[in-house]
Amino acid sequence: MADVLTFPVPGKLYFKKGSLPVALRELRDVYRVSRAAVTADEAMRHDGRIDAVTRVLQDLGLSYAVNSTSFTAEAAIAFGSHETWDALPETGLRIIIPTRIDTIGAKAWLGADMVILDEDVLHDDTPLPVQRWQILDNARRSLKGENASDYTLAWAVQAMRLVFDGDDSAETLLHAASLARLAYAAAVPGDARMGTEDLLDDAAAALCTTAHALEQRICGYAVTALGDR
Amino acid sequence: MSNAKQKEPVTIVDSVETLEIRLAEIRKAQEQYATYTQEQVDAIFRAAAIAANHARIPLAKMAVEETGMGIVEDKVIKNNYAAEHIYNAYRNVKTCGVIEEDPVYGVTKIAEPIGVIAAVIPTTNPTSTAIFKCLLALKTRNGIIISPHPRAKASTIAAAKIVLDAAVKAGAPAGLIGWVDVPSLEMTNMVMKEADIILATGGPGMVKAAYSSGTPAIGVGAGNASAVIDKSADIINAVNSIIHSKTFDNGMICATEQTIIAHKDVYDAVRDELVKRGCYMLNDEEKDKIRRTMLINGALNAKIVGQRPVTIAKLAGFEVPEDVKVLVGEVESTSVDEAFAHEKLTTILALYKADSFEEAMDKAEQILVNAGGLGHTSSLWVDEVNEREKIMTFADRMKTCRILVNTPSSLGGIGDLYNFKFTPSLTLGCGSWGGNSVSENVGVKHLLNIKTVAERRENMLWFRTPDKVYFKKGCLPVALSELRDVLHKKRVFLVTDSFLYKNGFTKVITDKLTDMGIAYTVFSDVEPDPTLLSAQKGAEAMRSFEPDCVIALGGGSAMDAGKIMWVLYEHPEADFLDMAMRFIDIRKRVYTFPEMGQKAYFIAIPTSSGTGSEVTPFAVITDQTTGHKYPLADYQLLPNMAIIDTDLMMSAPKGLTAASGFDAMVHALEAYVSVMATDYTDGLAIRAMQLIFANLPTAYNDGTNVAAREKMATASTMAGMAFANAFLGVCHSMAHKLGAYHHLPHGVANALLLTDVMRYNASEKPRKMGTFSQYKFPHALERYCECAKACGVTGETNEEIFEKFLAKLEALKETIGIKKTIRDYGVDEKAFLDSLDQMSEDAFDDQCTGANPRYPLISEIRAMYLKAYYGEEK
Ligand SMILES: NC(=O)c1ccc[n+]([C@@H]2O[C@H](COP(=O)([O-])OP(=O)(O)OC[C@H]3O[C@@H](n4cnc5c(N)ncnc54)[C@H](O)[C@@H]3O)[C@@H](O)[C@H]2O)c1
Ligand SMILES: [Fe+2]
Repeated sequence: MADVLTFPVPGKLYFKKGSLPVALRELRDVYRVSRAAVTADEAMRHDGRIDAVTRVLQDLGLSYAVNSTSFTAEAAIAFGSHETWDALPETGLRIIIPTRIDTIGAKAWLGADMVILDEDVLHDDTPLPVQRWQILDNARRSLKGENASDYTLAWAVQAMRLVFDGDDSAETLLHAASLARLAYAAAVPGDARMGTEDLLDDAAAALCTTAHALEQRICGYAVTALGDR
Repeated sequence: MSNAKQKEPVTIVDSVETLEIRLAEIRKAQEQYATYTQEQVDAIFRAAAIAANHARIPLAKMAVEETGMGIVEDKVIKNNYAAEHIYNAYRNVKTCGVIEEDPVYGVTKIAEPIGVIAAVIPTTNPTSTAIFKCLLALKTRNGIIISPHPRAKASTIAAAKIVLDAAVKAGAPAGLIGWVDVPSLEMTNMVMKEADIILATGGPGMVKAAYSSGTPAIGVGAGNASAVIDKSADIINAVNSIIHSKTFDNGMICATEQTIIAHKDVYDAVRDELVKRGCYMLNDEEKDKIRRTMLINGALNAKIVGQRPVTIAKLAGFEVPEDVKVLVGEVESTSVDEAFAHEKLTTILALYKADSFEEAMDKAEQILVNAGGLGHTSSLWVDEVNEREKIMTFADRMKTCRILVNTPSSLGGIGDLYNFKFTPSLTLGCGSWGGNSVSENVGVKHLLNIKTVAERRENMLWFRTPDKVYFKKGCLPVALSELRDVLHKKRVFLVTDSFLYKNGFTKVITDKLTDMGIAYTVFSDVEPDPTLLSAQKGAEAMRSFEPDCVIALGGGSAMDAGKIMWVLYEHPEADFLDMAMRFIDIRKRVYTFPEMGQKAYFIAIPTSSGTGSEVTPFAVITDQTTGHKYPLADYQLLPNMAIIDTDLMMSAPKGLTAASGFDAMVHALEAYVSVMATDYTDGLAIRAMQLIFANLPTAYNDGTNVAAREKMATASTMAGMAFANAFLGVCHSMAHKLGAYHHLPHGVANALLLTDVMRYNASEKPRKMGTFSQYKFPHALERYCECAKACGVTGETNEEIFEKFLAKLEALKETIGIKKTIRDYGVDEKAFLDSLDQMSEDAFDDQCTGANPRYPLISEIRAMYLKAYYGEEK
């Protein structure tokens, strides 16, 4: 294991239904930005979902452009899938507004200045059993990451707890998914190196169960999810 | 139906009885009209506007004939305006049902009609105002009963009838618009009394009657506009515009200029231009004649209203040529006795000379105060490009609701003719200065009841930590290399306490800094529970050293002191008491914390496992003069980097390990039951509790156990992250004050109070629960039980689990040598009781109280203190 570990998280993680316009107000009121470049999936532009962002920018009196390569701006906003998150420039203020949560992209969140999880724009239409399984799978895999720590474990276990004992509401699953993805992104380095240890025992103890029972339980969810695919 | 009492259908309203019947008819029609859709209403509105527009000429003729005032051609414009501009302004405005919907914020606005409007119509605009008010009523689904002026009743009624017929033809219920055929004071009063809202346009007497009727009223008052002509003005434009405005309908629009106040440098030019364009300068004798004719016993003579100069002169007893446009009286006095200073509603103008712009404004102000017109309109002629400041000064000085710039005030004041964002209206509000309830140009929004449907929404929440959090035993030197390699820092200011300094704790850091060639200085005078005074000293030292990086090394005391020094260094002007100002919502607080990080980067390195200050936006500081402890809170105080290296914690003495270790436990528990807890903080809080239960006894009994120390370090930082975002609760509120008043270590004070507070919070029927949108019902018991179960407690019922959990916490306290009661720590009973009331009140007011799941009463806090002192209910 490395000599030093860190617990990377997005600069600011904002959440709750309706948080998008409130959080974006910071562009003007905190960062004093006047120009913002928006990167969005083409689909978002076509079906008008992009309005959720552009309307706020308009109200704030900011100049902006969507998917323009020539527009220079102090802030970049990615709206949509992980393809947009990865397209963010290296410098300047970086804001991610996911419209879906996916595993590959969550790493980009860690480098962002702001991530906004707003249920008004963030939906997961994956079947419920599959969602649950994906959460558990990410959480489980995070336990083996080279940079796994008590911090990442705390979030992975919380994600599992929410799947096992939560109310299955869209909000609960959203945050379970986000916790599991963040834990995974923080625990597994960019090159997907796995550690020599597996924190499964600790995770099981934290959930007041045995490692074997926990593995069994996760397997059960995998089987149900497969049946649903 | 053979009802003997059935009344004959009413054809004219000329008595109290007939008025009652008419009102009932209007009411019935309005009830039906209230169910109409926007589409239906818009069609009716349109048809009525078109009909009124068609009738503009006959109505204008009729008005002039009946009242003997004004000019047909100008009244045509007014009628046309009342139909066309009003229609155009509101054609697309939503006035029925849902008019606004914001699903994101959960707000829906619904417009409903008010009922029956009582409309009082003046003689000066008998047809246009009637058209205007009837159209507004139609657009807003209200019924309307018109009380015409006795001298203009036929034309007013004719206008109303045209609108009504067109509306009914387009589908409106019959009888929606009604009027009094034989008006009298008694009838007008009754109309006003019976209606649901009054829309009164007229003189001050009428407006006062409306406001005194007991019915909600929109009454608008008299005008008396002065036109100030600055020396920078375009004189030709100014004078000709004023003449044009003044002569419009013989001066009967309430916003019309009554007075010109010209700067002395341009006075002669103004005068010459007036004469050149057909105005007549009155000589002294003529002025007196006009004065005597104009006001009779202080009231305006109705005979001169809306007349041409030739007629007025004749009435006054002298002759002027037929084609004179305006009679101008050069006058000086602005007192009430000067008739020329009053509102004249006819073709008479007063002309004043002012020595300066200042004096011109003084005069305009005096006229408003002495001779009337407060709240209505004033106008300024000025160089709009180069004299912006004059415009703002003038706007600032004039107590009028319309301030027109380079605009003829009669047609300018009614809106939409000289400025296209200015609401068109024939009823102009004069604000409280004019004794009115409305200060704008009256429109549809004043005739609707707007319901706001506000759905519950949850506050935005967040999770924030320092940009970089390094951990693992031995990580300090590695993490510090970032200072040179990534951050390129040159001067470090190291804050710590004297114990740590003397015992060589700073050496790892200073050696590494020397290695990297980074200059540094050490400030080692931080005392436990640091004071503002010591922070000020540190800040002073910083100012002379000018660091680009501050490192705070130590327990909570050194880290907190470091944060405050950092603030005072970056913002010497910031007021400490402002920063300590209590708030309900950190994002809406009154005081905006100064922006940090302009001068220096802040690194926190803990040497005790407990406070979590390395990852929190809080700093606790004591005011040495009062002894008060202030917890400051703002994300600006969040360190930029935290380095958690167990090597620094190995030598912590037992007392510190116990107190700070238990402090971390309280952080985790309070964060978990906080009204602001989230899934992100929950996971960290629970993990912290698990680690503390499992490792604190070992860390306490065997300080050399690296694994236990390391887990405690992690637990403390995790708990810190949890409460950095979910905040704390009333246990910390009480501990802050207990510690400050009786000098108990922070962690010990918390430990002594914790289980009593938990029992208090766990109540299923608290006196008051915490206020926060997402906190839906008192569920602290359940939340404590979630913690308990995660920490291995089992049981049948929540009550059982909770009791076992309390016992487990008490057992942990015992293992780490924490005594049972406050008394056991040697706090004098009398001193404690003497301080109790103040301490309870201060704890209630502590910033931590807001996030507690139960909103405490001061008496409840007091009872908990007593319990914690004696160990039993007292
Ligand atoms: N900012 C926050 O979020 C926060 C939270 C909780 C408490 N606090 C504040 O923190 C303060 C308490 O902090 P604390 O409990 O860390 O105590 P402390 O910082 O006052 O330290 C107590 C003593 O222990 C010594 N010490 C520290 N580390 C040591 C080590 N490794 N080995 C030997 N001795 C060591 C110190 O020199 C000092 O003399 C209080 O003022 C409290 O209000 C702040
Ligand atoms: Fe604390």
